[in-house]
Amino acid sequence: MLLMIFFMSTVIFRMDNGLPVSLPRSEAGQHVPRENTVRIWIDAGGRVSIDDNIIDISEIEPIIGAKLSRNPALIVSFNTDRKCPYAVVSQAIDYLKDANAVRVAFMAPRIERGGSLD
Amino acid sequence: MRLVRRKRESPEIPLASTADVAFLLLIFFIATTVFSIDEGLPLILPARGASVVKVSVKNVARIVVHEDGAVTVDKKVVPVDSVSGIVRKMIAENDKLVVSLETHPRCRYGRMVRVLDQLKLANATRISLRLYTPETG
Repeated sequence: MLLMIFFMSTVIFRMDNGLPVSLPRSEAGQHVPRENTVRIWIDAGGRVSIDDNIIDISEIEPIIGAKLSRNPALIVSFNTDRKCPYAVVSQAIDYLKDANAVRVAFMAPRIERGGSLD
Repeated sequence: MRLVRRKRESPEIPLASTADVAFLLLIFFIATTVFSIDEGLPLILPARGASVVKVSVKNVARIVVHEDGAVTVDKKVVPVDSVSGIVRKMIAENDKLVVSLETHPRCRYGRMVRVLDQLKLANATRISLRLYTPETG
């Protein structure tokens, strides 16, 4: 019983890593391996966070560039709020292209067909 | 006064199973934390400086996601859930097809993912993500 309460509380804390975001859902979502992945969090207001630090969007290029040079197989995963204006994501993608980070993934947990995607 | 001695009530709900229930819930929470953030739609972006590949217009399916979330395929408005069927057919007719997914900057990101999801369901492999600039129509 105590263990259960412990796990229930840790589930909530894991979501707090980074900004609070409400991820979109997908039907075709594939498993993205956690190793080799750096997570970019973007909330509905367009704030960007990597490694729990809120950063200016232009810092994506140097930060990811540095990580990429240490790990050329790096995958950049976008954990973006579904209400975020696409312009922010598009700008982030441009910075990633500048950093030559071409492997990206848009995180969207799978739901079964018929469930609510919105 | 006669005190009616009541038989000690045997428990109606067998308490032994609360441990089982707790255990099941525990396993459930362990399992759900692992799966939820690990699924997504992978994509390979073109590298900056890669030579621009010229693609003939007939080999491009232009999907535009507008500011209000409306989706058009080659300028025709379609319901978003029909995109995968439409693209699947287009690919069956032309396997060199490139899908150009253009999204309005003020459109919600969730909408773009919904359309990208449809493209993945249609097994589209050549996808190009762009910003939609309304002047080009």
